[in-house]
Amino acid sequence: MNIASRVTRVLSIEGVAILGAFVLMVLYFSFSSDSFFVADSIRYYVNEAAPIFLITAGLTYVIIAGGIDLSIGAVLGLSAGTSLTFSMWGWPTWASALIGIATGLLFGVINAAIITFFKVNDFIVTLGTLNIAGGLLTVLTDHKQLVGTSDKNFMAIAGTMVFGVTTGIVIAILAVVVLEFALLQSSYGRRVYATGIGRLPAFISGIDVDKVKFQAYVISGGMAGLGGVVLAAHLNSVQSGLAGGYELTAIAGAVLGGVSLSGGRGSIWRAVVGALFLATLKQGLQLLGVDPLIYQIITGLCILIGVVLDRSVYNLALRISGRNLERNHQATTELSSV
Amino acid sequence: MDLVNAPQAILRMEGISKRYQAVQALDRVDLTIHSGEIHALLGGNGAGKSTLLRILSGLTNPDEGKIIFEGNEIAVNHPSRAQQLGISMIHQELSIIPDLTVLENIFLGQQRVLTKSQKWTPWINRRDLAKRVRDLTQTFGISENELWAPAAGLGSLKKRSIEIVKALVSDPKILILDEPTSGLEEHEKELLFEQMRTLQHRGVALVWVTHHLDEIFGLAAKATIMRDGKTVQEVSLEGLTVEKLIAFMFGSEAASLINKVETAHGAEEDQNQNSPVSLEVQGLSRQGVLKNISLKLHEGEILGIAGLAGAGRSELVRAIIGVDAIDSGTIQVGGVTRKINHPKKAYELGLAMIPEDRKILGILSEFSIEQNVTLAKLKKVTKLGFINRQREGKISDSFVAQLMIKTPNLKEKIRNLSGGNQQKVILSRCLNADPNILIFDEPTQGIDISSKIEVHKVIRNLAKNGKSIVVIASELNELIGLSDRVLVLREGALVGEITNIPAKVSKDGFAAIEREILHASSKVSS
Repeated sequence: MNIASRVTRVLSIEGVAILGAFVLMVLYFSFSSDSFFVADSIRYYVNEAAPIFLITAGLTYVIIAGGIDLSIGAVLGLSAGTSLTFSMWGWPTWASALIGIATGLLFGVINAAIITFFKVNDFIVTLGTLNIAGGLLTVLTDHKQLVGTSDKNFMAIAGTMVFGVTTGIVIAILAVVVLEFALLQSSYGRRVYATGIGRLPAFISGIDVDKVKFQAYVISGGMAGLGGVVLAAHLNSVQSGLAGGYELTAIAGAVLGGVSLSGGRGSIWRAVVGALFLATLKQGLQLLGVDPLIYQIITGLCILIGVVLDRSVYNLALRISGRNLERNHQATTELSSV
Repeated sequence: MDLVNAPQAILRMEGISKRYQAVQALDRVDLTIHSGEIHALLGGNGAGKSTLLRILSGLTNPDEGKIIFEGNEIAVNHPSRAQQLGISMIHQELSIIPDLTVLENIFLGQQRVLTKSQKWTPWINRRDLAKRVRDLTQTFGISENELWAPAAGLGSLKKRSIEIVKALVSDPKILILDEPTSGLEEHEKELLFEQMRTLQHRGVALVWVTHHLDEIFGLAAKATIMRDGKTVQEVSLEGLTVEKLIAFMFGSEAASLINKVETAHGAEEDQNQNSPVSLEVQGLSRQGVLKNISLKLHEGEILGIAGLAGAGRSELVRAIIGVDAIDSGTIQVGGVTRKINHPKKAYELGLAMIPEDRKILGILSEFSIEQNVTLAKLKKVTKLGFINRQREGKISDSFVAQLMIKTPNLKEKIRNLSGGNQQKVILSRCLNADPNILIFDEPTQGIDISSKIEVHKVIRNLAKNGKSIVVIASELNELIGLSDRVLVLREGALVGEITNIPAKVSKDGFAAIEREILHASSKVSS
C-alpha cells in the first residue's frame, strides 16, 4: 500500500477529522498562550466540562436511536440542585448523590413514557420537560443561590485527586468507556442502532423499538442526573439557570463528532471529542483574552466550519483514493448526518 | 442492419463508465436509441441498468464516456438539464404525493413548463393548466373531475397514468420507463401497453426497463442487454424467445438451469392436508380492511394468497405477524391460542415474515450483511448481553454460502448489494430465527430471474422439510407455480379456495387455474 492511500485511508476513518482539528487547536493555543498547556489549567477546564461529557455520552444513545433530548441541560441543573439541597440538609453523601441521579432518571422516564406511549414528537416533549426542570430549579433555589454543603465527602465526589486527575474527570471517563463499550458490543447497543437506522424494518424483524427508545431516554436522563451530582460537587453552589444551554453544547459536540441527527450512525467517543473540542475552544479563547461577547460567534462558526470540513476532508480522501473506500459516497454528499 | 440508410439516432451513449467505490457499476457501456422506437433495456439485478438511467436523467455523472443527443455531444449534469433536453423518466416507485390533487401532481417540479406558461404572474392559474393537459389526460383515461381530486384515492393504474402524463407535459423526446407494470393488474397492463404504443406513434423514443421478459415481445423492436456493467449486445427482438434472452442476460448455463426448475413442479396428490395444522386463524377482523377471515395452514404446505391490489393480502399477514393490531379473531399456533401483538412475539412463537417493499420494510441499510442476518434473533449470538462477533460471522458466512449471496465480504453494507442479494440476506435473517411458519410477501418483487429461481427453490425446500409457508405474489404464474393451495381474497374477505394445485396444473394447465383465481378475485360484490 503506498503512502497516499494510507493517508486517505486514515482520513476516511470517521472522527479523524474532528480529532485532527482538536489537536491543531490545542497546539495553536499552547503556542499563543503560556498558561494554556499547563496541567492545572487543563485539569480546571476539563473538570468544568466533565458534566457535559456525561450528558453527551447519554444523549448519543438517544440520537442514534433516532430521537433527540433537549431536556438534559435543565435536568442536569435540577439534579445538581436536588443533590446539593439534600446534602445541605445533612443527608449522607451517598443518599444525596442518589437523589441527584434519581432526579435525572425520573425525568428520563417521564420523557420516555410520553414519547413512546403517547407517540408525541420527542423534540416537543423534551422541550416541555426542559422548561419544567428549569422552572423547578428556580423554585428550589427560590431565586437565591444555594451555597455550600458542609459535607466534605460530597465535594470529594468530583474533587478528589486520583492519578493526578480529579474524580469528576475519572467518573466522566469511566462513563464514556462503559457506555461506548455497551453501545458497540452489547445486544442492546445493536438494537439502538437498528432502531435508528430503520424503525419499521427493525420492528418487523422483532425488535421492540419502543422499549429500545424508552431505555435510551432513561439512560440519557440518568447521565444528566449523574452530571448534576458531579457539577454540584464541583461547584458546591447552585443557582437558577445552572447548566442552561449545556444540551446545545452536547448536541453540537455530537454532530461535530459525526453522530447523525437522523439516527443510526455515530459513536460516543467521537461525540465526546466533539464536546471536548468546544470546551477547549472556550477555554483557549478565555486565556487569549478574547472578548467573551464574541465567544459565541466563534463557537458557532467553529461548529459550522467543523461540520463542513468533516464532509470535505472525507470526500477529498474519497476522491484521492479512487473512491475505493468503504463509506458510501452518496450518504456523505447528502449531508445526511446533520 | 442497413447502416447507410439507418435514421440518425436521437441518443447515443458511448463508452459510459461509472465506479462506485469498489464496484465498477458501468464499464464502457453503449446505448443507441431512435425516435419512435420502443427499446427494451434488459439485464439482471446489478447489471447496471439503473446507473445508466441515472446518468441519462442527470441524477449522477459518468466517470467516462460521451452522450450524443440529436447529433451534439452534451453533458446531462442535473435533472433539470435532462428535462430541458426532453428526457423524462417514470420511476419504478410511484412518486405521487397523495395529498396533492392530480393536477398539482402533474405539474409538480415542472418549473420550466410552468414559467413558460405563466407570463410573469406570480400565482398559478390552475384552470389554465387544466386546459393545457386536457387532451393528454383524456388520452390516458383521467377524467376532468379527477384532475381536481386528491391523488390518494386513485388506483395503481391511474397513478401510473398520472406519472405518464406528468412525464409527457414537458413534451419529451425520450421517455424512460422503469418497470412500469409493477403493481398493475393484468388488464391494466394491457391498457398501459396501449398507451406506450400511442406514444411510439407520436415519435417519442421509449426506453423500457423490465424484468418481465414475456411482456416486451410484440411491443419492443430492439433490446440492449447488459450484464455485470457491460453491454452484452443489442438485439432485434424479432424471432427471439424468452429463453434466448435469458441466455444473453445470465449466460447459457443459467438459462438451462432456469428451464429445469420451472418444470420441477410435481404431479403428485397433495398429502399435506393430512399433516398437523401449524397455524389456525379464526374470525380475524380489522375495521375496514379484513372481514372475518378463517384459515388453516398445515405443516409442509405452501399456501398461496391471491387477490387484486387492495384485497387485503398484505394486511392479512401483517395482522397475523403482529405488525397491525386486530379488532377481533383468534390465532392458534401449534394448537394453542396465542395473542400476537408484536412481531417480536411472532418470532418467539416460530413465525417469520419476509415483508414486501424490501427497501422500506426489509433492509437496515446502514447495517452490514452480518448485522442484518442476526437481527431477528440476537439471542443466538449474545452471551451475557454482549455480541459474539465470531459467532455472528460464522452464522452469516454459512447463510452466504448456502443461499449463494454475492458480496465481497460479510462487512459489506446491505445497501451496496443488488436487490436479489438483499432479499437473500433478509431471507437469511428469517431463517436464522429458526421459524416453523414462514410468510413471504412478494418475495421476488424487483429481483432478477436467476435470483427468483433460487428464492423459489429455497421456499420449496423449506416446505419439503416440514415448514409451513404462506406466499403472496401478484404474479399468478409465480403463485400457482409455488403453491399447493391458494386462498383468494376480495375486499378483505375470503372468497375462494383452490386445492390440489400441483395435480390440477398437470391435468388442466396453468391457464385454467389462473382463470379460476381471476374469476374469484374480480367478481363484482353483490
